[in-house]
Formats: sequence, structure tokens, C-alpha cells
Amino acid sequence: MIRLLRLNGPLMLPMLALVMALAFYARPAYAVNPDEMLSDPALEARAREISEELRCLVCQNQSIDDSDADLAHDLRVLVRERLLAGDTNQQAINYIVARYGDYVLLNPPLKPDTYILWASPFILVGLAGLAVFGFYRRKKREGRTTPANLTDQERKRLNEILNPSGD
Amino acid sequence: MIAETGHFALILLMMLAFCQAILFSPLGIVFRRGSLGLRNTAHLQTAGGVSSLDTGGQHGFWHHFSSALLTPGAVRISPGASLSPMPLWPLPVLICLLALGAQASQIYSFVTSDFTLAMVAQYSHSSTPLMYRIAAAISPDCGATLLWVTLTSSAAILFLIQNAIFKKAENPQAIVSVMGLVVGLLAASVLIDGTPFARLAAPPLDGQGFDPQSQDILDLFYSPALYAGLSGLSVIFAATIAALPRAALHRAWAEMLRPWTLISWTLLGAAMAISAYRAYSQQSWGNWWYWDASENAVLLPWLLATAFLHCLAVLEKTEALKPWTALLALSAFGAGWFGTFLSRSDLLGPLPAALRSSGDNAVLLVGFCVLFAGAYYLFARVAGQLRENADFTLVSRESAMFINSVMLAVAAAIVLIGTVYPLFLRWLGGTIITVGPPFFVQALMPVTLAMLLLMGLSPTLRWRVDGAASVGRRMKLALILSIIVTLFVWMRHIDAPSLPLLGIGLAAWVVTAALGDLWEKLWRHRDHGESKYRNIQLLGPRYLGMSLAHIGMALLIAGGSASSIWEEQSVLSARTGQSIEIGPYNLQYEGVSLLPGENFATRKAKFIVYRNAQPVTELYPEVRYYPIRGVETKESAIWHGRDGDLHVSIGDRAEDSGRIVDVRFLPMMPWVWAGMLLILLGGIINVLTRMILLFKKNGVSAP
Repeated sequence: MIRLLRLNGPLMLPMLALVMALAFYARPAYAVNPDEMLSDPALEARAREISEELRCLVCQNQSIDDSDADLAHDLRVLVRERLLAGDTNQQAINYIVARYGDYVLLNPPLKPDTYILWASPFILVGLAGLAVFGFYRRKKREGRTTPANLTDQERKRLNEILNPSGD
Repeated sequence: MIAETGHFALILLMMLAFCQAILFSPLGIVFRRGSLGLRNTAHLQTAGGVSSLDTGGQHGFWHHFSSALLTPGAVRISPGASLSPMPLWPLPVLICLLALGAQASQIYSFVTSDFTLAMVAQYSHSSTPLMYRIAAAISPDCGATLLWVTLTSSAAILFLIQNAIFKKAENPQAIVSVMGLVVGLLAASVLIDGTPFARLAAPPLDGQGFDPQSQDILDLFYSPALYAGLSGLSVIFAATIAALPRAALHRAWAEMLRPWTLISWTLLGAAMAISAYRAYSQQSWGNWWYWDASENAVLLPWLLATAFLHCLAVLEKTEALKPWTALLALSAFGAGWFGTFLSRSDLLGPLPAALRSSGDNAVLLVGFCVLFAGAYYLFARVAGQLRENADFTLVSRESAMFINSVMLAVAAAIVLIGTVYPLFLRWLGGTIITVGPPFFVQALMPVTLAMLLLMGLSPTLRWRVDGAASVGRRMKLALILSIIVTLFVWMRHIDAPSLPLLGIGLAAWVVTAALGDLWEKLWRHRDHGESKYRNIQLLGPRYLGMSLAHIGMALLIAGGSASSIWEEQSVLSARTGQSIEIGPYNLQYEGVSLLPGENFATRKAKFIVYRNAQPVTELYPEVRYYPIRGVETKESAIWHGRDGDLHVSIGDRAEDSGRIVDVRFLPMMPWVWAGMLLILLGGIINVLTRMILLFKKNGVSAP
């Protein structure tokens, strides 16, 4: 097929059409598109807000709003259905989480499984702070707070070097 | 035959590399002494001190064997010994030639589309354009590891050249030994984890084609930049291992490593910039960093290399912070290796693939464990002996750079934990969770802001001692200016979230501080020379590179913050001739045409962009269809305007038979790209000018 694509003859356009038709047949649903959108702009804005927090299950860290995958399309539609049914944002998210698990949340929820994760930045900053504090404490204890100042002789010598003309 | 030759070269290379690792190590010295049956008394220096022992007998051999094993690198022959040192060049050169041969044979198989090879059949196709066949040879899976082997063995040669010219390394034998170990382990990973030279029993007529997402000119350079950066880090790693046992982390050591650090840091930065720009231009989202495993795999070593770069500068100036610098040197390469393992294995992919993960790349993991267990063991043993000459006070340049490097390490640790946490939680039987961008942004933003605060301050501080009062006097203007900028932005956008606002304010702080410092250095001390240009020369390449990189970082943060707050976007179904308003621009949609590409068919849309009713440019976003893999890719069209990026992508036909069009205006987004370029430019200028100065002065180091 691809060899034919390179032809610059009369076959080219029909071939292209065929290829694109095939592509259309196997088409992925694109990232959020007007067909899915709700007519009420306020609801739609809320739907976008929710979608940005939900993960496309088959992609690398992409939100469903951004993903071309079919599954993401289904989730986007599901979110909008829940909103039309009168759910609040949180209720809609809970609805999805109840079906797909915490895995769909890009922002990991705070619960016993993730305590360590959410505590880790604080622990790390604390440890680093302690280490730095200890470093300066030790330095102070060892009496190396300030470098020795120049002696008068050194100062004189330095002056000579800096001002060779003697001004 | 070509592939078999390459395979054989790789096997030979692996064995030679392990031989090199042993022969140049202290163990090798003991072995050679034992096998030669030398009866003379040799002076072997152990960590405990100089001991004079008879090495001829069995007892002496085993004694030295065990002492060499327990304190690696600590044993060396004193000048009086009769054993001549191994010649440095032959083995590394041979290994490098073999690696180049293996690489060439692998690329040859791809170029000639030899589909009897499993890897060619999997990643190439007869219709794949030549340059993407080469990319297919060096980017995925074991091909990339082979590239890593080649670049690491070439880095060993570069090190030998550097050593021959400048004679900086105190113990080149040990460095060559560790490089041999690294090359050997990587080669073993290529051979065992999945060799690129395996033949298929029943070869297909044609291959499966190269990943369409990666078919782009920029992507060609991603893999070489990343692995060249990691090879540079491996030299730093080897030099640290070689210097640790004798606590020889001094000025000459730092000076030798400086070019390696700068080059690898720049290359890793280039790899990140490439992956950011590609993500940006392939998605309709206008997002440029997803915090996924493969991106974090580059970010981790980059963060640690940045920290190392700064500590190295301190060490070179005042011989302080030795243990911390050594730890960073080991960890930077370790993070690079571990990150490569993570992104290569399917442990962290999307869920379906991750649950099926097969534990491949086991050798890469085992090699990592062996190498770094040894390295950290050595570090733990000798860290106490590293004499600290920390002669600086809390308010000093050293302090600022030290604390900033600690914060960079904290940031790296947060990234690492966020990346591997879901994996460990799953293994421990917890729930399956995602750690996505929100976590990383929330956890890293405060650390980044604190770093920016110090980043502005640090270049203006004096070495060793500085007074808080005089710093305040010097920084007064920058402080006032940056507060004015923050207030101005805040007043214009009163409802903006506070973290990005702080980011913009601190970016202003860094830029004003850097410019103020430059001004002060250039014009306040006129008496340095005849003209102000003389002052520029006095500042030196390091200062120039540093300023550029710092300003670049500030621009990046400011641009990223601003575009995240003020992004405008609209998704609509457009008809030919329709005009779309976005930001200051007005786009006229001119329809879609079907066009053939080299190995794809594309739907290319045309937009004419107007600003104030004046045509600015034409944009052609595409959706490409690659029939071989049956995959569609999006190629957004981007216009980098003076106040923001215009980001246009198209989708399918909508139900009302219009074309789905996604247009975004990302204010200040060009700052992000300019910032990245400035950071890279800072590194490049630093390296280039230093090289020029070095050769001009004929081997005398630059100021």
C-alpha cells in the first residue's frame, strides 16, 4: 500500500482516500471535542475541570481531557452524564473512582496507603534541614566559624602587591 | 554475517571490558604479581598505611587479595616495585573499536532492512525513511543500551586523551578499571536482556515499522544526547571511585571533572528540552511535561548533576564539601542508570502493560545493584576520612551553593519517591494508585521557589565570608524591583493563584539580581582595565555561563507559571472559511487537504493567522496516519509570537461535519523555550570558551 502511496499517478488520490478511510475506520476518539461537549457552558467548564483530574487508564500520566484513547472518551462522556444527572464535581469523581479505583485520580488521595507519599516531601525537607543545621553546628563546635583574618604583615604585603606604584 | 560479526564483537567487548576492570584494579595488581611469581619485596600501600610484605608466597597473595577486596582501590604499587604498570591505552582503545564495530553492524542491519533480525523486524520497515531507520537502531530497548555502551567506551577514550594532555588524574588506572566495569555490565545487559543481533527462525517479509510518535527530526537527537550525558556521568563516577579510597578529592580532581560535568549536564538538559518540546508539539494539550517515568528518568540525573556542578565549583575554589560532592557524583550516575532501567522496563507504564511486566532488563537491574552497592559501600567506609576544609560562614557563596545543592537533592528524592511509590505500593499489596502531575507540582513548587530565592542571591555573595548587612545593601534594588513586578502582576490579575505568582516574582528576583550583579561587576570597577570590554574578559566564561543559565531558569519558571495561569483555549467544530478568535490572534480556517508523506498519509489543515487584521503567518497542523502500524499521530502547529505561543491542532470530523479544531494561546510560553535554550547556551559557552582558553594557554587552566 505504501509503495502505491508514493506513486504520483492517477492512482494516488483514490489510494489516499482508501488509506484515510481505513484510518477513519480504526480511528481513535480524539481528545475532548465539540461532539461530547455540553451545551451549558457552566456545566461544560465543570466537566473540563473534573476531566483534568482524571487519568486516562491506558496512557502515561495523561488526563482524559488530553487523551485520544477510546477509554478516555468513554470517561469524558460518563463525567458529563453524571453532571447532567445533577451530581456535584465531587460526586462525579467519586462515581468514577468507585468504578475504576484510585488509579484514575492523577492526584493521589490522602489515605493510609499514601500517607508516606504525602509525608515524604516534609520528611525529606526536614531531614535535609537537620543535616544542614548539623553541618553548621559541627563546624561551629570545631571552632571554624570564620576564617582567620589577615595578619598585619599579610595585609601590608597584600597592599604592596595591589598597589605596586605605592599610591 | 554482518550481524553475527557485530554480535561476536560485542561478546568479545564484554569479556575484554571485564578483563580491563580486573587488570587495572588493585586486584589485578595482586593477580599479576601472583601469577608472575614475583619473589621480591614489594611495597603495597593499604588504607591502613604502608606495609612491606613478601608477596611471593601463597600467604602474601591471599593477604593482599583480601586486603584489596576489602579496601578497593587502596592498594597500589609504590614506585620501588618491579612490576611495571599496565599500559593504559591498548585495552580501552580495542574495546572502543569493538563497540563502534558492533554499533556499525547493527546500524547497517537497519539501513539494509535485514528483517531476519528480530529487532529490525520489530522496529523497522522497508518504507521507513533512512534517518528513522537509524533512529530505530539506536532509540528503543537494547539498541539504546548498545548506544550507551558505545558512547561510554568512547568517553573512556576521551578521558585518556584528556589525561594524556593535561595529566590531571592522579590514578588513571583505577578510573580505567571502573570504566571497564561499567562498559562490561552494560554490554552484558545488551547481550542477555535482549540482544539486537538475534536472528528469527521464520523471518517476516517486512517489519512492523518504527514508532510513529518518534518520527521527528528532533527525536533523532534525544537518545544520543541522553546516553552521551550518562556516559559523561560515568566518567565522573569512575573518577570519584578512583579518588575515594585515598581521599584524593582535591582541586586537581575537580578541575579534571569540570568539563565532564558541564558537558553531561548540558547534554542531559538538551535531552529534556527535546522531550519537552516534542510532548508539547504532539499533544493538543499544550502541556510540555507529564512527569512520566521516562521523563523523570532524565530529570533525576539532571537535578543531581546540577547539584554536583555547584558543589564541584565550591570544591575547586575552597576544597570544602568533599563527602557531599562525592555522594552527589555517585548518585547522579546511579540515578541515570536506575532511571534508564525504570523507563526501559515496563514496570511503570500504563496499567495493562505494567501488570503484565515481565521483569525484563534484569541484568541492567542486577548490574545497577552490584555497581552501586559497591560504590556506596566504599563511600560509607571512607567518607569519615575525607578531610573537611570547610572554611566558610553561614552567609557566603559556599553556603548558598551548598544549601541549594541540598535542595536540588531533595527535589530529586521527591521525584524518585513519586515515581516509584505506585510500584512499591502495588508490590506491598496496597491499592493501585497514580502519582500524577498534581503531586509533583505541589511537592516541588515550594522547593523550587526556595531554590530560586537562593539562586538570585548566590552569585552576588562573596566567597568564605559575607555580611548580612552588606548583602542587603547590594540586593536592595533587585529586591525592590522584583516586589514591584510581583505587585504589578498581582494587581492586574488579582484572582491568580498564589504559587505561580510567587514563581513569577522570584523569577524577576533572579533576573534583576543577575543583571544587577553583572552591572556592578562591569561598571563599578572601571579601574580594572582600559575599557569595559576588559572587564567582560575578567569575568570569565564561568560567570557568563552561570548568569545565562540562571536567567534561563528564571525565564523558564516565569513562562511556565504564566502560561499555566493565563492559558486561553477553545475547542470547536470549524467550517472552511470560519474565523476563530483566540488571545490577540484571529485564525482563518482554510480547510483540510489529504497529502502523501514519505511513509504516511496526512490530513493537513491550513490556518491563516491574523493579528490586528494583519496576516502574521500560516499554520499547518496535521493528523498523520502511519499505515504500517495503523497509528495516527498529531502534529500541532505552533507560532511563537512575541507575547505567547499560538498552539493549533486538528482532530476528526465533528458530527455536524465541521472539523474539530483545538486552538490555544499560551501567554509567555516562548519564555519557557527561550529559558531552556539559554540554560543550554550557558553550558555550551562555558565548555567552549574554556576549551579555547585551554588551548590558547597551551595547557594552563582557565581562570
